[in-house]
Amino acid sequence: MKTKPMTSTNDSTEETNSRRTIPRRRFLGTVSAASVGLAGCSSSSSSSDGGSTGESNSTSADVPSDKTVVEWAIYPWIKDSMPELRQALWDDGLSEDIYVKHRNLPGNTPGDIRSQYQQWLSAGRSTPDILGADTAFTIPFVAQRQVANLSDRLSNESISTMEDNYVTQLFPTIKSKEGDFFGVQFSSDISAILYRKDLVKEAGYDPEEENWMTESMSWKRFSNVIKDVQKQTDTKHGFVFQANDYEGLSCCNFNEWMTSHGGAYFGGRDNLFGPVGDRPITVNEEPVKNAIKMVRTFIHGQDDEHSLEGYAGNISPEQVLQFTEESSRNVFTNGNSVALRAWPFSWQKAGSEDGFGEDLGLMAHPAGVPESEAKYDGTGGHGRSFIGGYANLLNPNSKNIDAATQVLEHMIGNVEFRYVLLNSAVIPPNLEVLKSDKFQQAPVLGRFIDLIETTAQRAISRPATISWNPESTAISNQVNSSLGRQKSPSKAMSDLQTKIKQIEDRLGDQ
Amino acid sequence: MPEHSSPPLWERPIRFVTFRVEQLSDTQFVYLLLSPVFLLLSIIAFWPIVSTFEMSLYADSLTDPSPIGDFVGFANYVDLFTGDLNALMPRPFFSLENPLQSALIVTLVFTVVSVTIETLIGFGQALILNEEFRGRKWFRVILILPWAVPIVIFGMMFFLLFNSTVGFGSEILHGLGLISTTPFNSTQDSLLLLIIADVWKTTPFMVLLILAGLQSVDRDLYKVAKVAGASRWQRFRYVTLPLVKPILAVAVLFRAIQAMRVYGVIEVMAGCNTVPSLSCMVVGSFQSRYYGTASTIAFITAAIIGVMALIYIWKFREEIA
Repeated sequence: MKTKPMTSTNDSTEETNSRRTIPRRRFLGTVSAASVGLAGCSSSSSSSDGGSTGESNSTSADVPSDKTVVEWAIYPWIKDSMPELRQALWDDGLSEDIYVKHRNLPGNTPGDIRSQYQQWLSAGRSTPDILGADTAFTIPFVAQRQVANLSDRLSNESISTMEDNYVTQLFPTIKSKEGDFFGVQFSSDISAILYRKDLVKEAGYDPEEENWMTESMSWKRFSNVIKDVQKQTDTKHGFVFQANDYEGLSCCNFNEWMTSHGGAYFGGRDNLFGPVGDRPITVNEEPVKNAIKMVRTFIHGQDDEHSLEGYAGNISPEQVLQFTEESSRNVFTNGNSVALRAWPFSWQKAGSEDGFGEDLGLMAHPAGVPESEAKYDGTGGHGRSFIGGYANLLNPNSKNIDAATQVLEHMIGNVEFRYVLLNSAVIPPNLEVLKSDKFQQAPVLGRFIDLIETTAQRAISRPATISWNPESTAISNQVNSSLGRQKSPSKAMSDLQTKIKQIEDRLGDQ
Repeated sequence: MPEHSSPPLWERPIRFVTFRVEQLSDTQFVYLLLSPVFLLLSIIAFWPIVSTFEMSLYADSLTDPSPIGDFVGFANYVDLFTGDLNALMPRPFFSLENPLQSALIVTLVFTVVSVTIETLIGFGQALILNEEFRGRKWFRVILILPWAVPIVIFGMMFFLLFNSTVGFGSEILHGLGLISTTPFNSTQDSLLLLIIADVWKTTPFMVLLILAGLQSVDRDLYKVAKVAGASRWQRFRYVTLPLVKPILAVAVLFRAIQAMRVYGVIEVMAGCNTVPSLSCMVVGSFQSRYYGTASTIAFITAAIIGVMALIYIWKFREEIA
């Protein structure tokens, strides 16, 4: 018997077949032909893709094709300085066959950048070869050995240069427990209070005479001065800062207010970097709550039930609760605020000829309580800025790992490289270089070197341990909600104490 | 009689397959055609779910170079519901003490409230669009526009609208006593604004599906009901509603599944720290390399969605069959 005829003796089948417009045989034939066609298309498209696959970067017109390209992810604003930075590296002895290519950081906030790096490193991606990373999140990468051990790769001379000359506060964030370097510190970020010198003088104050830059004043006086200047000069706001629910509040703004009032997250500087789970948690203490009360007064005035007596109120708009760096800077540069808390990038912008020029004044952070009255050593008094910064990490999956190591080697101790960077608002990790005439006369930041030197010594870093990420989120949550009057300072800090205890207990044995 | 030549050797397997296919019943033929789809589904849908479940049985690796920790069985699930995992997350997974801080409750509130409002408004608009009136075509086009706006764009639109610095929306709602002056600092206010934004964007989706259901209703039934003396409400209650119910249920199911996975608009408008949803927690813990925790929450979210789908299938099994 050959094939069964399409017509069937079965009535129902016959009826069904009569409804079919395409016989199965033709249907199968058509589908097979279509599949072959699609497979052909697919194969052709993939071969075409394959032909064009390649690093788009390497075909870029501005990158010489005969050089080994080392991709470096770092601050976007230094992109324009890359020709000078490359030249400084070559002048220092880096092989001219190595070309350092700038790449923007993959995100606007430390959290975004950390997440992207986490994914890249987990996926074994080979670029960027050098990862510029906020020291807030280098510790997990170091602990999990996701980045290359530089002590195995860098020369002893470079390691000694870092050990002997770089600011030591950030070493715990780039070194392993065994003491190996996993990062090369790139910048020392400190903050200061920017103010409009022209408005302040118009209101009758003399910042130079009183040496506001390095000696500053108390927060109480600061609030009253700013209120007075705001009123006399009819400026919309007095003081703006960054109090959004984000890393910038927990690491920096709140850390600074709290430290200036003599408070600490973990009972002083000695416990900043551990031992996790075995250190006192001191956020529920009076100095910490006073810091919140002070800022609530700035925002909500003396009518707030948790205001601090003697402080001038209503100098800060409620919008600071949503402000990050750019939003607060815009208010200041648009002339709508007398003062701003900001990083060197903003000093550079606001102090340039396109900004306020010589009318920009800088002041070290005011004091909450005198140093002698502070509960913990190294707290209280003025100049309690946060100190952080970026480190350069080496991607262990890099295809140019030796070239990338050479680039890092020639960044260390390279004075010309640091000078170019200072003019791009990057403060060096080796503060000694700032003493030279060349640096003192640098445009804009050269005017503020005294402040950098005094503040860097008194600054406080964040407790960036393995537990910092969840702790930072908890701190910014609670502080932001209390500043927004959703919780009293006592309730917020009590909740925070509980949460940090849970985190420390869970991660303490890691 | 011409001699019957046997087919060439290479043709025999093809003839055999063709013969076997033609022997199949209609049902068997349908399953045969669907088998590649089932195979594909099992690879792209079933396998990731199984893999996620498997990963949820391992601890997070916090300091070890290996991304996955030790095998811990169902400990992650127990820890999640007892609150032991809350320490590492910005907001608790489930907490009756702070319901609006807990991801599960916030997600369910968002889903129930937004889908209910969208269904009611969508039904009303679909009933209007089902009537004949001049310019109906244009009205339909305009109505669908919000649905076409990408999530990030509409999230940014509403963020700017209710941002206390540049938007005017927060002033109006603050004047009515509904929100504070800085709504994106409060979970409660932000959740309200998210629901408003979601209703604006997604109601057209409901309108389209319900309208399709309304247009499939035989108009003669209304004439018969009218002749029998049924009032407008009775015609709606006993003719429209029962006939539209299956498609309404599909629309609600689709929307509820989408709402349970809400993430993008939260990230753009208020941030996951302010409004914690289940997807926010999955993304947040995944980005922190807490793969065990992320998989556990992801699997629970998938399980909740699966249960919703099963309820629908069970409830409307006759219509589906």
